[in-house]
Amino acid sequence: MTLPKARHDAVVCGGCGTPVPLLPRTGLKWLRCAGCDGELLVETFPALFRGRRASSSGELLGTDGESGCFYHERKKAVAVCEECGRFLCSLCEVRLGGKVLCPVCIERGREAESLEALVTRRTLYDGMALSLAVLPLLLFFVTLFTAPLSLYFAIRFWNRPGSILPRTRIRFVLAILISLLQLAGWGFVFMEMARHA
Amino acid sequence: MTYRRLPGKKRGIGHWSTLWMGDDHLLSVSSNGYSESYTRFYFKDIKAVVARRTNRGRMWNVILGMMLGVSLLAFFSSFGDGTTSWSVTMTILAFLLLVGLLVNTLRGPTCRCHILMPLGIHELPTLGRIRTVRKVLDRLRPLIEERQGTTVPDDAVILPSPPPSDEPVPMPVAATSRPAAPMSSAGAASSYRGSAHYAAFSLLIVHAFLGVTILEYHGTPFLFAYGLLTLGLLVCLVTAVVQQYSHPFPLPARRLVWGALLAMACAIPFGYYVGIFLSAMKTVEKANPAMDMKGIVSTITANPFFPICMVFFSACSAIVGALGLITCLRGKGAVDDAGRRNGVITTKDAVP
Repeated sequence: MTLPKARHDAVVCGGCGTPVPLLPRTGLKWLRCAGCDGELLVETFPALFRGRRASSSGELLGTDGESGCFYHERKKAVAVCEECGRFLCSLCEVRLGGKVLCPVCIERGREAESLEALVTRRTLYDGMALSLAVLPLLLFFVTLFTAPLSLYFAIRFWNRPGSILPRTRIRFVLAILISLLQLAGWGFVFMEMARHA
Repeated sequence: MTYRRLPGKKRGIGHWSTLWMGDDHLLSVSSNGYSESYTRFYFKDIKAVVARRTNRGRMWNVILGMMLGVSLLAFFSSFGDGTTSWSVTMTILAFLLLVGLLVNTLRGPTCRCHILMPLGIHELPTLGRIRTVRKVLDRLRPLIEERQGTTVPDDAVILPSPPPSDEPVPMPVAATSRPAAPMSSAGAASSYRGSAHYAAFSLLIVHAFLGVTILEYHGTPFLFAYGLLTLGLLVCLVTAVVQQYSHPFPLPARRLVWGALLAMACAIPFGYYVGIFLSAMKTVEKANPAMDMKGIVSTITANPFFPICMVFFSACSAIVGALGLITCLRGKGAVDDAGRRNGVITTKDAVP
């Protein structure tokens, strides 16, 4: 949902985008919007009242004995990347998921999806495998083709990172079991046909 | 990173959204079963949460109430037709609709919730009920305060309230001239004066009177009127529940409304199923599968428990109705607002 044009440093009505009056933080407050007359339940936090934090551009090297940043030679190192061990100035130092990382390691982690804090999308192969195993049961003859496919999905993507939320592999297990049962059923059908022929 | 599920779920056609709480952020997850997309809101950056009340819940109540009314009318219109399967179907349908109506009412008012972050405003689709918003904020508040601290600036910040337009909004000004004053309860945001409450309590008294009358005269017109009155009473009670959720009202009156609604919710299905059971027993006894509604009614009214139940329910209705009316009349001025709303403030009041 896109709200009407409004400032991002003001609390606005979710319906019309009209700024609403603010009071010092005292928990949940009922307010009434002057724009659309809607009732608003508002809770504000100290971050709203803080000004923008000034970003540090890194301190210059003072003496010869000080270590410099790997990426900015003339700036003083203040941290070490926990992935690659490079010295970092305050400009390059990024704290993410409780770790200090450099921009290059963050980019690598984003590409390899190894940094969970940067993952914005995941494919759920277990759900796909289970659907491939269960849904075709409505048209049972399709299972001859979908059961091997479901089995392939379950085995191929068993170790692929799935959801970042707590989730077991029960869907993979069920998909494998149902697919094997379907294949066993088809095997039985073919054997019976062969016997009658 | 361990995530804990927060209350609320938004279901759509082929997709759904959930909300999770991490160690240092809030995670909004949108899923279609085959893929998930994540949006993170870090506790240190959350500026505000705004929930705007919507009419979605009321609209559903009206729709369900109308459907319930139609099914009840269909049930009563089958009197004398000699078809019991129709009435049984209508009873089950009415019961399901009543359950839906009650669940929707009990879940409380609906809303659309937005979260204000440094770079923009985002919707939290899972928080679709005011009650859910409160629950989630109660769990998040300590974590956000742990990250942001609880320091509050001395000067209250008040924004002027221009009409909605694309014009740039003026910068906030310090509240030095006049602090925003909470509205008095008398003018609290709407003109509701308890009409649904008065109607519900009055109908309860009429309902009690008619219930006793039916003991003596159980003809079709009386039963039809009794059914219609029950329906009207239900509508009034549900309306009163919805209204008292958002408007200050005396606490005893609120409790009486809830009590009456719950009692009716239990009594109506109970009465229906007892009636069906008794008529079924009678049908088996007489070996007459095509027993008509008049036969069912006479079977029910002939049961020795019927007058006892009717007298009991009528007495309860009369007492609750009378108490409710007295409470409403007494508590006109004294409004119990504690714990629900900390005062309603309008932007008009806040403008210096």
